Order: sequence, then C-alpha cells, then structure tokens
Amino acid sequence: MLSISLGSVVIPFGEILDILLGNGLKDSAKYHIIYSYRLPKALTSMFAGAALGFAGLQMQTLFRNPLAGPFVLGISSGASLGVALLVLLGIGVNGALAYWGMAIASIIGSSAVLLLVVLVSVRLKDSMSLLLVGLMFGAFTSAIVSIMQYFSTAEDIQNFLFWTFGATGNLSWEELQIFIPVIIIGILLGYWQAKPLNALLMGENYAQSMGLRIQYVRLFLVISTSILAGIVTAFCGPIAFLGLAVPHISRIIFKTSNHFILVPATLLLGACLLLICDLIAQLPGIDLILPINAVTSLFGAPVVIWLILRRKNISKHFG
Amino acid sequence: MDNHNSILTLSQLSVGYKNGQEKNVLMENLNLGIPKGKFIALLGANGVGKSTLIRTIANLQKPLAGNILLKGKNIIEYDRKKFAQEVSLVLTDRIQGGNLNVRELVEMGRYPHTNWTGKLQFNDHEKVEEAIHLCAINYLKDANIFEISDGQLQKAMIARALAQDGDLMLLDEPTVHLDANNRFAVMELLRKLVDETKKSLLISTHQVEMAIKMSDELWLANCGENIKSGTPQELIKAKEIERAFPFLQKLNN
Repeated sequence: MLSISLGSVVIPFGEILDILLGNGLKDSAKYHIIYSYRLPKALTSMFAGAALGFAGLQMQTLFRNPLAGPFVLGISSGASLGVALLVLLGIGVNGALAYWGMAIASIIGSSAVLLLVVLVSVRLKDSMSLLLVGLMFGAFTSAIVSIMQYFSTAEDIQNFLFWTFGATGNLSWEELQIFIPVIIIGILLGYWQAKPLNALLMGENYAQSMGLRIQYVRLFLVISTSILAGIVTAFCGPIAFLGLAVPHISRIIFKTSNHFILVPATLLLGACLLLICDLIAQLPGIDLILPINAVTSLFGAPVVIWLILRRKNISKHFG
Repeated sequence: MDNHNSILTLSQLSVGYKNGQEKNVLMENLNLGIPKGKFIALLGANGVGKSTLIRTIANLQKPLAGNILLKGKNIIEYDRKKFAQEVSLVLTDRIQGGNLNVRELVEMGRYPHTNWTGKLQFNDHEKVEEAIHLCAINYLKDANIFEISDGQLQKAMIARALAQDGDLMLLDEPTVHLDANNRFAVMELLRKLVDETKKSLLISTHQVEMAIKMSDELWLANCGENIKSGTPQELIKAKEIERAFPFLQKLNN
C-alpha cells in the first residue's frame, strides 16, 4: 500500500482506495499513475520477492548449506547468460513473443546451471565444494557474458546493463499475465515438496531411509527453483541477496525448521522485503529511482551480517 | 540359517564400491539371515566393510552381486516408501538440521506413514509417544537437538527409528561417539527394545565385550574372510573371537 502511495508523486491512501475501488475519476493523472505504474510495480515486487525467498529456502535445504541461494549458486548468472544470448546476439523478437522469449531464455539458462550444480552435487557429497563449483559456474557464465558484450553494439549493451541493475517497475499488465502465473506454478511445485524438504533436514541418507525418492525430489526442487529464479531474473534482472537473506530471517523470526511454516513465511517475508526495498528505491522527494539491485545489496548485506553476528552460530540453525 | 524364520536374508551377497570399471569388494558370498525378534551384532575391526554392508542392506547403495530379500522379496523391487515402512536406520551421520526439537525429530520417523502434507494422525502420535517413552527421553521432548548431549541425541535417533515402526532396525555404530556409560546405556536400551517390541535389530560395532554380552547372535567379520555367524557362546567356544581380536587376551592376562 505504502509503495503505491509514495513516489515522486505522493498519493494519499484514501485516494488510492477510491481509485482501486473504482470510485475515483477514471481519467485523472493519479488514476493513470496507479493503474499503469504503481500497482503493477507493487505486484511485481511482491511476487518477485516471494519467489526469490522461496527459491533460496529450497536451495539452502537441498544443499544443506546456509550460504546457498539462487545468486550464490550461479543460477542467476545462468539466467543472465540466457538473456544475454537473446539481447546481445540481437535475436530480438517483438511483442508478446519477446516476453516469452526472455522468460524462456532465462529459465533455460538458470536450469542449465542448476542442473550442472545438481549433477556435481551427486558426485561431491561435500557442500562446501558444491558451493565453490556454483561460484565457478557463475564466474564462467559471467565471463561468457563479458565476451559477448565486447562484441556487441553499444545499444544492445545498454539494454543489457539496464536489465542487470534490476527493476521491478518495467512490467506492463501484459507481462504480469505471464509473470504471476509462472511464479504461482513454481511456488506450487515447490510447496508440494514441503514434506520431503523437512526430511532433507536430516541429510540425504536419512531422508532416503525414511522413504524419500531423492532423485525425484531433487528434480522437482531444481525445476521449481529454476522457474522461480529464472522468471524473476528474466523480468526484473538479477536481484541480489533476497534469496539468501529471506530464509534466514524467516527461521530466526519463526524459530522453526518446519517447511510447512517456513514456506509461507519466506513467501510473505520475501514479498514484504522487496516491497520495502522498492519503496526505498523510489523514496519520495527524490525524482530519480535507484536500481533495485543496489538497494537490496545496500540494505541486505548489513542485515545478513547483523543476523549472523547476533546468532553467532548460524549453521546450526539453518536447515 | 533357517530362511523361514528370517525377516531378511542375504544370498550370495557381495558388497563394496564400484569405481568406474574397478570393483573394490569388501565382503563376498554372504549367506546370512536375520531372524525375527533377534539382536544381531555385526562385529569387526575398522575398515572391514561393516558400514558398507549396513548401507547396502538399507538400500542406500547397490550390492556388487547377489540378493537381499526382505520378507521374501528382493529389496530393489521395493518402493522406497514401502521399504521405509519395514526398515529403519540409524547412521553415524551428524545431523545438522536446524531448529528441530526432540519430539519433531522423533515425529520424522512417521514420514513413510503420512500423506504429502506430513500431518500426523492419532495413530502416528501414539507411535511417537510410545517410542519416546520406550527410549526414556520424555524429559527431553522439548529440547532442541543441538542443545542435548551425544548420548541423548543417539537415544532420540533410536526413538525416531523406532517410531518409523518397521520390523527391522539397522544401526551403524550406535555407540561410536559415546563415553563408556552412554555406550552401555544405549546397548542396554537396544536390548530392551528387542525384548519388548519383538523387532529385529542389526547393529555394527567394534565393541567386542558389549556385543558378546548384549546380542543374540554375532556376525564376525574378519578382513579377507567370510563372515562367521553364531551365538556369542558358540563363537567363543570355537575360539573365533580370540582369533579376530587377539588384543583381548593380552588385556585379560
């Protein structure tokens, strides 16, 4: 609500309600601002935040590593590679196809990296080496992106760079019609695995001994995570930190490792946090809008550090 | 071994690791059975393949050759969930799973019995309470699993396996991280569980005296030899234990 209200033009709550309920003047400027700008932006932030938080939770539990997250494991980089291939190689498609193109490219990119990470994770039982491998994949894909940038036109590079800053405000209603259903599918797929996620807390051996089919569950988690991380990265750019921080904050607030509680918690917290970051990015009184990625990192990093210092022993609490 | 009374039968089983084309065989030609309601201790020094055998029986890794029959059916034909309803497992793996308390840990044992929401029914709660009661960890129910001692954690892990309620429990080195008192307490608890629940138990251990005292039957694993099975008394008489653990005699002299 606040994020709809505030911005370079401040609109009071009452008026927003009026407009949303259809009582306001249909052709006023404020009506226009809300319907074609603020509301889609708020919806985007909510769903993107929820998706990233949940993707992070799934990764942390699957890899049993408190540092896992879509960004750290190179999944976002994979999505970047997909989009870079599309944008920088100039395979531009127009209209509604372009949104699908971006979405599919980034989902393919992120699932490719995640599948590689999972393949490696089957061979390496050690989660530390897995994390390093993820980082290496990230570096590798970034390098390819750099090489492609070097050979691209200035205009394509500019498009790509804007995309990497992250933005929640560029989505039209048409794009939201793709964005929201895809995220809901990803969330449902992941939520379906809440019980296996709980069993995975005890490690893969125990989980299997309790009747969990590990390959099957891994596959579902990979699909769910790449859909979630991929689609968000495609439409909003690579948004840092949220996927890593939200699960930790949820665990600390709710003091549980039960995924039937943690999943809704991360969804809600992720949505709230990205809305807040978004709010900071478009602070009233400032005419320009900060890149959302800068805001999540600026505020996310200190939050994570503070949490770790307060907890001292975060690895015991993750799960 | 009489197969009719056996809940689990190993036939011509070889266990070990496959590394590409190379096979590293740890144990070969095992023909053994686990009778119903018996406590069996797989006894052997470090490195003879005890854990590998336990892991193979638990269906966590494939046998190199031969079959394992659970209630007459090959375990690789079992659905994972069905198998988990019959066989539960306690490993030496450190669990580091988050904010679990002891009750939640034990409740995990009901995993193969619940539907996708994981919700416990009346019957499940009963089994959990029973397991907690049998393992005498009522006082720990609400404690977080990383606040309790290794001995207490091991009892909680046993309670979890008990709540899983299969007819066979496999325990890999259940006393390994424990001090002398706790080692005894855990073994005594396992003995009690076998007597009271009529479940079959297979543990691996290198605690010779404890295994002799507590188990109904020993599987004696010696490097490069077939496993010798028999009651502790039989194996002592046949001097097999002496041969496998020469240090015992030196200690006793």
